[in-house]
Amino acid sequence: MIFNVPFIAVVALILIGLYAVIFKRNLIKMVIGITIIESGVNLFLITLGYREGSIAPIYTSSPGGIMALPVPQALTLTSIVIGVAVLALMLSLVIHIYRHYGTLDVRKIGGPEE
Amino acid sequence: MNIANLVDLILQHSPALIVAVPLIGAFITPLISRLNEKVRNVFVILTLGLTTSFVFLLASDVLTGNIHTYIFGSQDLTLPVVRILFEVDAMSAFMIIISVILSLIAVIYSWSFMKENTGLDKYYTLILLMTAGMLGMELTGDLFNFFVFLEITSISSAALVAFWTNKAKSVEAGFKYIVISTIGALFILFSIALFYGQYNALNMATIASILQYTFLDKIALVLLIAALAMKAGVVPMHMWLPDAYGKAPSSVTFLLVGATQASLYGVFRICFTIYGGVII
Repeated sequence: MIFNVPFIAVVALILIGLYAVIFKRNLIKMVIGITIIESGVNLFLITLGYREGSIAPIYTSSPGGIMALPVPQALTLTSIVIGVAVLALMLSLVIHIYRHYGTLDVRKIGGPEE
Repeated sequence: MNIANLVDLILQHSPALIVAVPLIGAFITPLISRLNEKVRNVFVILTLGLTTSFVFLLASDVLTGNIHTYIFGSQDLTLPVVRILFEVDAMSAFMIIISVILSLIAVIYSWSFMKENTGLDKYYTLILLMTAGMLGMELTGDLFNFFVFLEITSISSAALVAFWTNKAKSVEAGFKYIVISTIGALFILFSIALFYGQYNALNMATIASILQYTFLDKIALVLLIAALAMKAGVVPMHMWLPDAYGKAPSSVTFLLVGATQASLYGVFRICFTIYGGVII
């Protein structure tokens, strides 16, 4: 049962993020929601590679015993880097939207053609 | 070395060169644009022209019936997941021809269309990055690599949609597009993790050969098709598409068509290559 806790956390993080993206009306909160979904997916990848009592996969200084699988860690690292790029781009677009409309409320931005 | 040997060598390495040439060109473009604007435009057109010639060379060989496989990483095939494969069949060849011609036309058209804008070094860098991403999506045979190229394409295309930042609607369309495509890509990553957890493989052909069609595979199929169809602008999830196509600069709209078609190619790969053995 205790080993299911990370997977429950993954589902909880993804659902919380989706709730924030769909129901929140503030653009910054939507961006935070996307970041929370991303954390959930990263946690899922990391959890897949972990076994009980395993050590970090560094071959040259291994004390013996089983190692965690390195491939999901490489995937997670790539995913984190991509996430940073996406986060920076989204926040810069939010800054531009705020300059144009003076608000971050999705009900107030948009409207008729200029 | 004579010409025939050189052509053979280029043909053998063309799957890597097709992605590498626009990618390296993208990072050289800001340096070149320090020199002169005309030199930069000629450089970008030459880079894409070179890519186009590689694409036609590869496609002409693939269409005679040879499927190309290019191995990045270990050549020792007994080790699992320590390499990335590029696999080119006729479908990929067809799609890379479409993408590369679209981007070549877009670059030639931008020479006069975007003439009066500033910040064009970033514009051309993003166009080359987006081309590299699209071509990579269509050439790769590895699911995680597909995700990486998908993200490269969506980040650069969202930045290009919002290129006219003085127009409020363009920025809004770009934000809508990046939100939709990021959420889609995260669910693609989630389903890739589902595959990896079950089969310890990331290669599309390997997964297809050992697919059991369990309950988790059904979840992964639903998530992959929903996310890729959302990025391709298929009807129930098309709300971002009129904004992005209409508010982007016209030269970028060409490329956006190529990017959405690349996502549609992803749907075909998922349905017919990975799940082809069990659901058809």
